[in-house]
Amino acid sequence: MTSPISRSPTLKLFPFGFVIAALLFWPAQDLPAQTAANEYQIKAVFLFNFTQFVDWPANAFSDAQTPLVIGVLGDDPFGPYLDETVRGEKVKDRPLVVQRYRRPADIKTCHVLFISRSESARLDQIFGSLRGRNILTVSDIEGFARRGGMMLFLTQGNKTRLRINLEAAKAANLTISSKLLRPAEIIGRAED
Amino acid sequence: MGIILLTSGAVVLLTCTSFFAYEILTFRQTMTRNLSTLGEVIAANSTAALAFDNQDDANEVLAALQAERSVVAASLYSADGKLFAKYPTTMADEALPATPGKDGYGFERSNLAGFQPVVERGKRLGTLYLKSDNRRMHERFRLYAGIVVLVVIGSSLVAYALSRRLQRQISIPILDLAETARAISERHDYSTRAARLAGGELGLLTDAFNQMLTQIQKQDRESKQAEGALRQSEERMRTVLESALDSIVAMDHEGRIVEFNPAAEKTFRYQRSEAVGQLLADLIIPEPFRERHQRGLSHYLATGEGPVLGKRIEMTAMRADRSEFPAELAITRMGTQEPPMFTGFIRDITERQEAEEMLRASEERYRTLFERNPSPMWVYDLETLAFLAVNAAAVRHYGYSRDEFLAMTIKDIRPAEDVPALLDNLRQRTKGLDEVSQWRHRKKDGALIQVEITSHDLRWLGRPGSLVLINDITARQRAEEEVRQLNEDLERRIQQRTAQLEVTNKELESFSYSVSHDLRAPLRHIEGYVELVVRNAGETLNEKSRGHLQTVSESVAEMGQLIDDLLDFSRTGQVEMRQTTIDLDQLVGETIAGLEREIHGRNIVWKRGPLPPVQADVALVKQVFVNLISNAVKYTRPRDPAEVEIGCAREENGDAVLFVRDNGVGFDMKYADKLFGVFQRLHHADEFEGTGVGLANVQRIITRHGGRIWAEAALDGGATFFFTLTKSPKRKKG
Repeated sequence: MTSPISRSPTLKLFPFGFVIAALLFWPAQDLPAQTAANEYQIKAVFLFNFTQFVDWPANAFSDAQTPLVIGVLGDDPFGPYLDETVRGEKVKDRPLVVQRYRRPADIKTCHVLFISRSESARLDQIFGSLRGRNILTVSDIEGFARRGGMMLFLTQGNKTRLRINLEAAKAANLTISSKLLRPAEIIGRAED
Repeated sequence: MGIILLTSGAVVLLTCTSFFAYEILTFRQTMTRNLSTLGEVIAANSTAALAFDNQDDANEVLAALQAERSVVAASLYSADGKLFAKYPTTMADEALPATPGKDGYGFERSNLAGFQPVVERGKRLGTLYLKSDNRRMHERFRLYAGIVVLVVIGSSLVAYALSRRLQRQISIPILDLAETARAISERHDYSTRAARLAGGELGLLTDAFNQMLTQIQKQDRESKQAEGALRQSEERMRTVLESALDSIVAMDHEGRIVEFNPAAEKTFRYQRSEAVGQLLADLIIPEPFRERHQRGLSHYLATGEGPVLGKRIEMTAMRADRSEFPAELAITRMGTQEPPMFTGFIRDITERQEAEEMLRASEERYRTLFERNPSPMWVYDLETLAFLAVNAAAVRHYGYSRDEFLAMTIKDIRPAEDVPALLDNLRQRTKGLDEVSQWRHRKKDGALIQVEITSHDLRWLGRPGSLVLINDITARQRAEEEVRQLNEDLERRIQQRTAQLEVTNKELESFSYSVSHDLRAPLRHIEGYVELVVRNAGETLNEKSRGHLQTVSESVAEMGQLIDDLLDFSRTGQVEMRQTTIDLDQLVGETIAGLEREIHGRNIVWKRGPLPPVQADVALVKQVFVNLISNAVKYTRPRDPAEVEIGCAREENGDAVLFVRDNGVGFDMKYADKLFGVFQRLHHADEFEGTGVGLANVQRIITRHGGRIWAEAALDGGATFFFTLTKSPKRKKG
């Protein structure tokens, strides 16, 4: 913590939104170094933002008001951030719900699934249990996309970037907006 | 020419300005739309960059604006208003808005700029700012302005040239034509013609104008003739209006007066000038009738039904002093023009109503006179002779009921034998004149009555009739008959008595005459023998015996005088009178002269007034004066001087009141009634001699002349004898 924030005890009490905003919109070169804490803050926002750029097939929801479920499998690295990010938000008319799973078998209805690093060893088993289900898989496990995950959070310098495995997404019958493809790195079968 | 230039200049300027304004407006709209479209595209492309915090990508998206040269600056702001990316990347942050403003585009100075929301699936991710340079737009506007100026100048020049030409070719001939038209309208001289200054259409126009003038000239002539006829017609109409005895008031559909003739002025006491333009209702219709009038007018205007139109109605009208009078009104509609006009003929019928009222009253009086008349009256039909009406007295008097009367003719109430005379009389009657005649009528009970009828011809309910007044004279005739009988009796009795009296008178007169004669004969013997005795033996007789003889002789003379007087008196009643005009002055003179013996030695003052001539028997009147004057002389003997006055006191009813007055011994008035009796004397013979026959004779003469005689006297206070004689109508000389 080399930031000027630590110098003033009052500043510590600043809402996290301020920090996120500072991180998001400060010119890159001027940004202070990212910490583990705000890394997952950003990732929580990204998780939420995926819901804006990804289309699920109609059978993924029982009706128009069915909540959109963001699941976390394994150890939850977000702390309170994820819950705070989605609180009160809606995607179209759907409320957002955060669920946490210990095992893949716990996953009932789920639309966006963040797979914690704690599950790195069991990835193949997890993908196997999710096969055929319309779940957008997200993780920051290295090589996640190559191993069959759909969205990988990459840390390049102090920035969080995206790598997208389009094949995997297509296999799950998910449509990713071309807009999302612009700022992301795409990998496919060719790189397998 | 100036106006042409001004007009064309204004038109061009207005056109260009409108076009210019339109251009600016559409250009600005187009620019705004273009920029807005561009903004939407950029915003759509920026969503992921903002969502996933990829500044590089955002800058890349904004860099695409290079393709649009007019965009001079752009920037992206995150959802919480922080600057996220900019274009060009070299631009200083201060040149861009620090925070996003309100969404939308607007012109600021020479730039068009605005904020565009960046939205993905309804979620606002940030804001895009775009700024476009308008230099090019202004360049274009300047170009437009230049073109406008050039167009205005050019078109003005063309307009000037054209108007010069137009003026030469069109305006001047038209102005000339206009001048001609103005001159014609001022002078009303339709014989003027316009000169043909140009060929072609203007020449045709001039020809047409002149042709029109010819038409107008013709129409003017005709309309002047028509006007003359109209004026005459109006003159006639005016005369009718002014000389009409009825009030004539014309009104329009609103009920306003448009005409008011002199008779109306007189009747309503308004001047025509006061009345015209006023509402008829306000002026001459009394308050209570106004509404009905207005309702009637409105009803007519609405439906065309006018129950009073063309009829005579009676109403109450009002004068200027608000006094009301009965009037007769007839309203007619004038012509067929729309909206309609009406003429009202109004007549003051006060007098007529009064006359009707008087007639009614008169009829009432007549009816009363007829019905209540105490004498029977009826009216019968002169042709059928049937009774048409009978009064109550007739019913009462004749015993027939009214219905029985009306079922009969006048023949039925007469005895059958009188009917031919009745019909004869009816044929010969003088038409219309009142006639009085006597007839016999038969009552219901059969009794015949004598009537006097007075008839008068009249019209009775359209039939020729005769009004008859009956006077029942049965009772009167009976009374008259009785009176006549009585008179006849009386006359007969008078004749009988007169005859008896005449006989008695004759006997009496012959007796007195014979007595007088027979008395005179022995008297003459006595007188003769006494004379013989005195002549023969007078010398021998002593004084005393001669005294006796003297007494005998005087008594005989007295006796003779008495007999003469009686003869005179009896003759006075018998002699026939010969009336002539008598000059009394002369007669009195002769009388006085004849009394010379009595007057001798007396001192008598004679007073004689003027006496009128009278109509009488001169010998008898002479006796009157001799008697009265000799009396006056006799009874004034104790007076010295004696006064005797003869005159005319007065005249009454054509008689002269004459008198003889003396200042003698007079007499007591309580013996005045005995004065004129035969042998009546108020004095002793030894005092005043006399026989007592004179005044009786005088009275008899005056009475025979139809006059009166009377005396006024007092004992020892003189006496005056008055008597009257008929005055002669004319004074006759000689």
